[in-house]
Amino acid sequence: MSTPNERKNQLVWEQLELKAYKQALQLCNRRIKKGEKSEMLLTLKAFVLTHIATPATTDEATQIARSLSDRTPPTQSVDVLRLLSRVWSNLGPSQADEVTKLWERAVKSQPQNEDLAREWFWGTVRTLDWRGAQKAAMNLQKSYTKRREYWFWAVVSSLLLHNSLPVDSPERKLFGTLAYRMIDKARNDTPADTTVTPARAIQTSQEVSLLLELLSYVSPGDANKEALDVLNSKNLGVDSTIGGGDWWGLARKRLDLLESAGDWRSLFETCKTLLPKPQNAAETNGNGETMKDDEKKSDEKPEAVQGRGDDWRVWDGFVLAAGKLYDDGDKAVAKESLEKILKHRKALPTGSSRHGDLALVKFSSLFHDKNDGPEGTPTLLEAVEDYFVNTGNKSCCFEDIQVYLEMLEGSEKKDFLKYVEGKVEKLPEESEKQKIDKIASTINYQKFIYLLTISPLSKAIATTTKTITSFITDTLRVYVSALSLGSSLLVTDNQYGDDAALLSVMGLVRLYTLTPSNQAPLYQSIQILESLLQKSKHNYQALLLLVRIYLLIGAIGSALDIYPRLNIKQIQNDTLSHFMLTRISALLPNDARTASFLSDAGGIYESSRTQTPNMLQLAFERGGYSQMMGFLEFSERVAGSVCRSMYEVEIRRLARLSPGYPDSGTVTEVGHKGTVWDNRDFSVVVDCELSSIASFEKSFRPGPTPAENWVRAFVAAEEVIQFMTAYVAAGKEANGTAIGSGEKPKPRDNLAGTLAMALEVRDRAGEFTEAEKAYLLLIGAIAELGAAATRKDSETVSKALEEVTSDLFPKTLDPTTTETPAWGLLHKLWMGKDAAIVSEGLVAF
Amino acid sequence: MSSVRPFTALDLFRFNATNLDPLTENYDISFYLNYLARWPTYFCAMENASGRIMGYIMGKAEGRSREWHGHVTALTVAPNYRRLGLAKTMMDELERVTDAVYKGYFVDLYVRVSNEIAIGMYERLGYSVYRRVVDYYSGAKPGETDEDAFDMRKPMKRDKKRGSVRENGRNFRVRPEDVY
Repeated sequence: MSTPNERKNQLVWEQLELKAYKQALQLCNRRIKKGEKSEMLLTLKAFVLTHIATPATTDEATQIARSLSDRTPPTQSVDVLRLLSRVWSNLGPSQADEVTKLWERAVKSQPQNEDLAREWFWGTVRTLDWRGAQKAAMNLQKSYTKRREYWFWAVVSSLLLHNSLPVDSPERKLFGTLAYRMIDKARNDTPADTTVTPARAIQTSQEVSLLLELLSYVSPGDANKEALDVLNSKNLGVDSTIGGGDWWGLARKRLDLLESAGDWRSLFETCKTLLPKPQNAAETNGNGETMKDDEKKSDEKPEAVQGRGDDWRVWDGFVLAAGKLYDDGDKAVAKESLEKILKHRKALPTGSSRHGDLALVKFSSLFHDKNDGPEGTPTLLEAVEDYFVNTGNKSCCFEDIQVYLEMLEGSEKKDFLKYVEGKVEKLPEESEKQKIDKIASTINYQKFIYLLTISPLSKAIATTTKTITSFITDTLRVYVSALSLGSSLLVTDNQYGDDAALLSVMGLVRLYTLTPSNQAPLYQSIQILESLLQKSKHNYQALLLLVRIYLLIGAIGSALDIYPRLNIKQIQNDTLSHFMLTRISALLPNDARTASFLSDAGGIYESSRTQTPNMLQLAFERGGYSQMMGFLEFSERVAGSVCRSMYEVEIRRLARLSPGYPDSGTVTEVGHKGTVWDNRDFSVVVDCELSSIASFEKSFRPGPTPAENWVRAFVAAEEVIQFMTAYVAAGKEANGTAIGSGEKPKPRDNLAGTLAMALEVRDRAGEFTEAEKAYLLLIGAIAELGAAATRKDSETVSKALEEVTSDLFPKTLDPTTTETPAWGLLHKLWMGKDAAIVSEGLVAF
Repeated sequence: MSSVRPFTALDLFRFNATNLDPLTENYDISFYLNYLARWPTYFCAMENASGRIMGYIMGKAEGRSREWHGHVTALTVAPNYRRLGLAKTMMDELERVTDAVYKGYFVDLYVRVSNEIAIGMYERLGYSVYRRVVDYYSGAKPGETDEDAFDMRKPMKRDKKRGSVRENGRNFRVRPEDVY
């Protein structure tokens, strides 16, 4: 049951939520006038005043906050302290220390109140105030020495404060050293026998990871050696009881450290002990799947597991180290390595293990150019052929050996294709499983063909067209032949031959990129993909390609029809929605779905902002220390995402081009603390191109790819437009009469310069379409005009106005040649219309 | 080629090959971070040589007394990387953590009774049906009927009496409210 005052406070909060700040202030003032002077009411009034944020209200809020913070004894109410902290935070960075002082006084006045001290700490964590958190955590660990977690909270807070400070700040080193000394003490307090450990000794793998994290900050020179000492130690190392909690994390860390230190001998030995013994390997079939009981030999009994199984990181380190040692003159190790690989493969009933086979491929690749290697080393060609024989029926076969195929000489590539073709032809087709395996092998073969013969083609000549057309026909034949095998598949499954259809689309797209004036291959691709999606409703590769191709031909509405089938949700709004939403406001602004998808995508940024601090608190509470740096980086990357700014620009343009759609308000800062992150995932699209050329997906994007320079330019452009609107609005009272120029807004300094620079940045001007460049030039001139107008520089105003009307604006409406319908035409027209709308605003200006 | 490693928050930017699959749920950010904060060693990714995420597993430790156990919350492998034994490798790791770190009595997971492929796979991994939870899964769309779940369990070293194995588990029906 709430008290009368709480109910009255609630009324104020409700007004705040409605952004009715003046009404909220009236409610506070009325109660104060009646004589109520509770700390909460005064704090609430100060909080309301910070939202009105005029110089007068800021002064008054500061006075109230100061008088409440300086009270002796300090306030006992946690609610008042929390709200007062928010008041100081709202008053700006110059008052940041006040929050810490406030809590410090309160905690000192109640030295036995652990809840209050913890509340101080949580408040700082939730606001990402690492200076405050460090102080609060140090207070906790000093005051409550029996609570082990407080020691580690102090370590982590010191580390986070260190990370948040500028690199050249002397304090940075200080807090880094402090954090390290504290965790080092915990390390030294950990006994050799960890059955019983002191409270503040290291007890979990997360704390070991924290120690390792700190080493690189504090002693970069010795960090690797010291980290290896920890990882090899009996009480905290990889194989210790404590370290074993995160066995893979620490084991991989050790391999990475050995590799970066170039300690090939240790890397080799470490990997050797980790690899499974042949007896263990025999417990799995050729692809790591556990054998069924009836597949096992009855007298087989696995020995105790010494290694951790068939892990590629271990095999990779093993082969790499052997090669390096061989180069250094130690031939015996390479021989041992080869024998180990061959023995491992032999031990398996199928005669192969995916990783063992691949280790052999990698091993032979080390000697490919040198025509060298221990006796018995197969040539790279033999190894990849062997790999295909054993793994050709797995869809990952292609990507496993792609890098090695590219190493082969021209004639070897031909030999490989011939060999694979012969093997595929001879594959049996008796049972359904054999038929399915043959389809998978054939598709891998087609992928090899694409990589080795289609991908290098770069000229639109008759022979090229013939080669690609033949490839398309072959792959389509494979796709069609596989359809009869999928009758018992679930609705959520893909058909067995889908990748063949995707390959045919890749061939068609190649025809298009070689001759962009001919869009027929795109229409044929649509036919194939639509047909594929009848049978495999959820094939996301097909959906992504179809969205892209519909965009390219200018069928934006059809792309919007397909896009929801990808079911993009949550963080995918930041990583994947760009496939549909890039430049969407200047492609299809007059479709309600455009606004809806943009709005959905934008939700992830607010969601991350509110959720991450709570998760940091949880990580502190649960001792998930090694995760915290990742949580922070994650939240900074979302906050500073290029897509966040991109969608804000799209939404604002949409509001101009599509009457009735609300403006999103002010433009927010680009990036996070000046850094712009690109979290977009382009790599999810199927790709069989040579590594030396652009990825398949990159070869047919609708226009240049917007990135940091693009968002900086367009956010600056939106600021110019926003300034003009605000200037015009401020020029009139509600009744329409003009008011004095002294109260009119001023544009941010040098917006025109920002725009001009964006168009000139080397390598980055390529982020803009021609229509966007023309638009930005226009807005740049308008920015100059606006700045000149506010400083009453009539000469510059006239010059800029002349430039805008006679030159720049007409350029945004360049006559367009429209031989084929495409996205570019729509984009140009809508950008032109937006330019017209903005220019029209000049009349009122 | 595949390799197990701990999952990190930054992997949320890169797990699209798995999460575009219709059977893999996309949860909100806090769901994943919650698991990472509370049970970091139960959350592993499987990656290929170029660092692409091929699959992942997330789990938690829960229960009291003899019901203290590891639970598989999500196990997913991207379509192109199926039939390679990746699920088994990830399950092995979750079981190892249950045994070595959390000292759980068993590992359990829920699966739709209609998902025979998954049930078969878990049976090959040593799991058996402990009970059938009636109407555990809500119908995906209005009008669609709810579906029962099998609660499948595998005893760990600590379960010396194999209390997590029930002979007629498929016929042992419980209501959803009984399992929370």
